Amino acid sequence: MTRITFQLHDGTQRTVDVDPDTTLMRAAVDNDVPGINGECNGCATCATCKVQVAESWFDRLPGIDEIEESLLDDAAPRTRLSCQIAITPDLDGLTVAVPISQYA
Amino acid sequence: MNFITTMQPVPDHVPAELVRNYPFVLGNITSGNPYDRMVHDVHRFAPPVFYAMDAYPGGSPAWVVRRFADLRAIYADDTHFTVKGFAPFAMMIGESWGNVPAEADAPLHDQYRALLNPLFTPAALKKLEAKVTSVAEGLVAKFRDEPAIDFRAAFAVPFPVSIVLDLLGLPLERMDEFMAWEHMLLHDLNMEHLQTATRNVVGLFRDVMKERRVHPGEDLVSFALNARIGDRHLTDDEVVGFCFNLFIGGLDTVTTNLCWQFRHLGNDLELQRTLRANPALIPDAIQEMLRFYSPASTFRTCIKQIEIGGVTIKPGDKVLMATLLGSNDPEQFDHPEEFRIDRRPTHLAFGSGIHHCLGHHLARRELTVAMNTILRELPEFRYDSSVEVLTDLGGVIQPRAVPLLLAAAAGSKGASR
Repeated sequence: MTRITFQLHDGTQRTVDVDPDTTLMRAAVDNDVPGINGECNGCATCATCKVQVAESWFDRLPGIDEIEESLLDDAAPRTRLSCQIAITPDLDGLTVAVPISQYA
Repeated sequence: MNFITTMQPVPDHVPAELVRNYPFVLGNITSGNPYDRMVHDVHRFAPPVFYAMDAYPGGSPAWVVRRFADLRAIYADDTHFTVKGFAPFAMMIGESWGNVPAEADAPLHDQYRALLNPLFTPAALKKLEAKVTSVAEGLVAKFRDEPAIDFRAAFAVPFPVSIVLDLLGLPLERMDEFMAWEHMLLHDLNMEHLQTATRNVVGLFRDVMKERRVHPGEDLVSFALNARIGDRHLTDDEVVGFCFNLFIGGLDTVTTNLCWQFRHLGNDLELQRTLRANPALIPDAIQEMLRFYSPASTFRTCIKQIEIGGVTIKPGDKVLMATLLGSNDPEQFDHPEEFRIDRRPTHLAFGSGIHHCLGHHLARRELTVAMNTILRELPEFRYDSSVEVLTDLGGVIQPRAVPLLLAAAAGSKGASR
């Protein structure tokens, strides 16, 4: 189990324990974490699963490919598409912030 | 010759009690707002999966799946379902190309998307921003002093169509002709019209392809002609399928959403005031409107037997993917009949899974620019409910007009839904 903390826009937190073989987006949607849509269901086209990664964690995540980069145009710094982050044991303790809206 | 053919017998694997009427089939028309009652009545009265004898264009049967969760599972399932041949266009004129990438399955589909996705990302679309805004402002300038307009003809058609024609490098002067073809393709029940329109569109693109091979430009047709998948170029049929897909996907769907969105704003003056006072809420309003008024339906064909909601679906069966049903499923959305600006829903307006709409970033951008521009440039407008407006049902649910009373006349006539 990998423990992930989502910081919600209203100041509250949601901590979930996640099995491997999933993605951060799936973990959020399956646990009803509000604010993450995942409209395309993890195909890296819709950009509605954005999260902002805590500074201490950003460089420890797998790299950003060209497609993800082009979908994150104008996004806040340290933003990632959560569907592109595979859950692995070394992400235990990861904290990400969820925006109020994926559509702003 | 009419498109409706004689009804086929109900297949043995379909229980008689699951054969139901589906009101949104191509050719049906309503004078009301189908999102007020009709769509919610399907959820109220029909089983989760039912069989409609005329749900597929041409009057042949298809399963109708109304629940969001089931639809989303089918979108993600390429083991039991294929997208191949869901649209009848090529077949109707005796050709064999498919819409690219909409009618391709993995792994070919993924190669197409790898090629095409970069064209439609937010980063790539940024250079269109100024153009999109200037088209919107130019159209508003033409009607801002009128007392009343048909918003569909004055804005909802020419705005997105100008942008897509520009992307394809097609002449704007022929817009009316192209739109007549488009209307025949998507809203016409007459088989001869459908064939003629398909031949016209395909003929147009074959001519353009011939010309662009010699004189390539910055347009998407030239892009497709030069594009490679691995070590090969796209075939002529693939380029035709790509162009045709953009033509039917890019010209009509944004028009349709604009129609519903501005009809809604014309009926909900409080929402208009909220958005004028706080334009930052416009993207959230659009997201909820896309859910509320999801207009498009596509099809899947079963290739391996599967059970959905206790119902057996067999290879060869067609399944209707009605986004309007999934986006208004009361099991997924609390009181779907209520418009809530802070809902920020995950809806099915753009589908889901690997076929999630290729152009959705462009569509969202166009819709946002349209609402920003119009609320900034025009004073309060109202929907004129004294005009009877028919709405065409079918694959794209679109009203034939959107009568709006602009400021000059809005005081004298009441407006209600």
